[in-house]
Amino acid sequence: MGPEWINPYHLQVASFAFINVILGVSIYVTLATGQLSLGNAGFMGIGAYAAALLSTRYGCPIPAGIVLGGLFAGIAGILVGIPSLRLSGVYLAIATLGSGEVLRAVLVNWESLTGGAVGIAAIPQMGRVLLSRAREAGFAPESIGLRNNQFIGISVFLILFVCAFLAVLFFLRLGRTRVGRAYAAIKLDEKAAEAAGIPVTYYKVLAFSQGAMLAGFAGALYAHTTSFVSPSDFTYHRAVEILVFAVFGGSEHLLGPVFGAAFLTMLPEALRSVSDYRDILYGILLVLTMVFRPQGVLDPPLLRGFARFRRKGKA
Amino acid sequence: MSDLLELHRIVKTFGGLSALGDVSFSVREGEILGIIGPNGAGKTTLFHVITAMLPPTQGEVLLGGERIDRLSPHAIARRGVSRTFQNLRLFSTMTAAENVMVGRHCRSRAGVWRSVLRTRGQREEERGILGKTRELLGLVGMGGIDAEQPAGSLPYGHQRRLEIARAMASGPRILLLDEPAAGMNESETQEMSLLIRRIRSLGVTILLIEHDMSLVMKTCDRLVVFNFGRKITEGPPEKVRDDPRVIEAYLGASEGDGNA
Amino acid sequence: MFLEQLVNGVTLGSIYAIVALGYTLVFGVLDIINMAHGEIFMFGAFVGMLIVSKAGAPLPVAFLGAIVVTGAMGLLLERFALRPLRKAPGVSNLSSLISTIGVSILLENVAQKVFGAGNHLFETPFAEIRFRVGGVTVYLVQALILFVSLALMTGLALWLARTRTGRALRATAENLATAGLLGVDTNLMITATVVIASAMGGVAGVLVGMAFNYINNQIGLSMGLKGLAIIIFGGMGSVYGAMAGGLILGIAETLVVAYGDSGYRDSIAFLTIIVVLLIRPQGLFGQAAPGMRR
Repeated sequence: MGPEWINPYHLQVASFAFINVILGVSIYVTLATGQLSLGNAGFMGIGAYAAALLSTRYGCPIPAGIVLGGLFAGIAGILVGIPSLRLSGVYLAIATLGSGEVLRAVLVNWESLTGGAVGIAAIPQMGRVLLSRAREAGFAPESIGLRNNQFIGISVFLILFVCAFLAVLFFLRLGRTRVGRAYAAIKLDEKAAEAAGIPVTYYKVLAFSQGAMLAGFAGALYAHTTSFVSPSDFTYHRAVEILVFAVFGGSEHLLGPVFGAAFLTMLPEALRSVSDYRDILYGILLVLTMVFRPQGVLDPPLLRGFARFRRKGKA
Repeated sequence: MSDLLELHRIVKTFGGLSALGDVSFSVREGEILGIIGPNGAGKTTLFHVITAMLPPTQGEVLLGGERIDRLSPHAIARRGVSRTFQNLRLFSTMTAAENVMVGRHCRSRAGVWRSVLRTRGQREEERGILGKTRELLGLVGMGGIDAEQPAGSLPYGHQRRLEIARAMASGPRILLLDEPAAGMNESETQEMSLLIRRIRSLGVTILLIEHDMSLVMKTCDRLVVFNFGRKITEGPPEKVRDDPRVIEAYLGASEGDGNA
Repeated sequence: MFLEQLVNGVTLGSIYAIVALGYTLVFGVLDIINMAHGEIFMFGAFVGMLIVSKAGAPLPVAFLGAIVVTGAMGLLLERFALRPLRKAPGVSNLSSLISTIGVSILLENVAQKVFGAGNHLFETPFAEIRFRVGGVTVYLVQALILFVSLALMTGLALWLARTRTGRALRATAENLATAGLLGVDTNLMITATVVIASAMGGVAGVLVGMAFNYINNQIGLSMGLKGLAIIIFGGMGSVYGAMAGGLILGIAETLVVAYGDSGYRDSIAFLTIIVVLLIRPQGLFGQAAPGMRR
């Protein structure tokens, strides 16, 4: 029963790709002001744990929990972002990476709240909750020819697609406005930006907390997608993975990290036939990309080229 | 004419070294005041102090009678003090137009939400910024195709003028120009002199650091002369030119480094 | 009791110092963080383990083997993951960072393929030999670790200060372009730096095996993160900062485990650097303000 081409597993991979797209946007936003933060795995963890605890302990509805998860992470972002203003370059990168590692140690050790190294299980999964709501309302997925797990997969896919789409759209639209220009000016020359009347401190903290909030938002979505979180989801590896999205895809334009996140999440699936070696191949791919295209796959000249090509096609 | 910008007993030291020692003078509303002096006399440091990029060790800076030396640089820009840099600091990968638009930041308000939602107020504001940008690019003689070029790829003389347009975008009451004609040939310098006077005619007071004496003599209403971080004299150009202390300062310096 | 903990701390710290030296040498010359250093260190530990535990050869052979293998890895790393990026114009340090991250992912997974994910026993024949010095029990292994790491640090410091090549290397670290103009073969210097740094990582790997008696393919990551913390703490590119920072961290960790909460042991490194960076953004021994460095 149910159309066979709708494969819940593929839907799940695509869903994770959307979460990763949000994470890719999150590191880009901070980087847009010239700040390299590797703390986004930690902020993702804050969002995920906040959402998980709100729903399992306090019965908070999922959408509210997700929004609050993002807000908590955003506040944490302000708290980390203000002292981090004194740092730049690799110092900022390592310090933010360090705050993520400290957070992880807190998650492991504060067992009464976080469940320690085991983590939190039985977090309501958004697709399943939606299914039971639908059934209560008298709607059966069978009536449109879908199995339960197909319905769950599709609804999660759609929810995450919309979230990722909105996140990308939000920052794409922000790009060519007064705020976006201020970000770009700060990235290019902080002193000149300040002299030109831009409150640099305000915008750097704003961008830092926007990135943290997005990462927390992605974390909250993650918690309600996998229905299970543990400290090992938010390690150094996650921090590096998010960085790689941006640098592989291209960090000069918002679409770079978006592409990087989507491509690199799908890639291991494409490499399933050689699954034993896929992490090794992943490592080699990173080196080769940096050797042959150090600015990342997508960069502004390439994107302008696309745009010209499309205009020509229309004419 | 009243005093727009006043400096009271400004001292600036780096470590134990004195860069500015007890400097006081005023800039009158609507004048073009030139600051001259040999290299290393502390002229650029003075600009940094006025725009709060460096805090003064002692002393006060007043704009229209209000102290501004405790403010941050962006707040000072908002109050109406704007500057250019001796070594150009354009946002090189942004287009010329975008550079000027950045300069308009403190005269516009749209925040994150209004920008993303493209509210009517935001769109009107953006149109206003674009209009002002065109006007200013026109003022510095850079209308047309230049506007969409990345600033870093423009010819040097255009970059200098673009930086003035960016500084003008914040709607300054006083404009600080740090060697605007550096590296320019004679006819370009001529045009720069015209541009500076045109900006003054728009009601903007100008404080000018310049090495090119023909430009200074032709353009400025008054001069302040610096040497070794101290003001040695001030007055109208003809008087300053014949002041023996000024001649000595320049001769003394040119023995040392040969490019006063 | 306290003195014994102190000895433990100094032993651990001297290993940390050697790992951190590997990072700081490469950063000093190339201005990049070699994220693959932890994994190279891990390979050193595995090579030592194979030679000592599996082949039963004496310890000096293990050191030699680890130096050769990790030195060769450094050579390959420089040749294929760093040099091509150096030649391209306008490449940011971020690209080199990602490139070395790629190598670290590659090595971590190769290690997992070859050695598996579990713990491996690292047996030294004299693991139980100990003696008492003025009421403090000291294991022979600890004395040996201290001796090797001190010798290595002294040797490095002397080499940098006294020899022609050492001076050329410091000139390269100071300013790559100028050193090139002065006739220093900068490519050779960079290669030498990466090879020496990697070989030191290899030695540290064997020392860690000796100290903990077991190794696995995760030690590269945890040691790597600590090494990063130490060079931030001591000041990027500062040789003495790396040594001091390593010792301080080793002692602090040991004391926290002995008298505090062992759950936070691995966070000490980062808590320390976060505090240090907020007070002194350039690190303990760093000179330039970080904002000035790109």
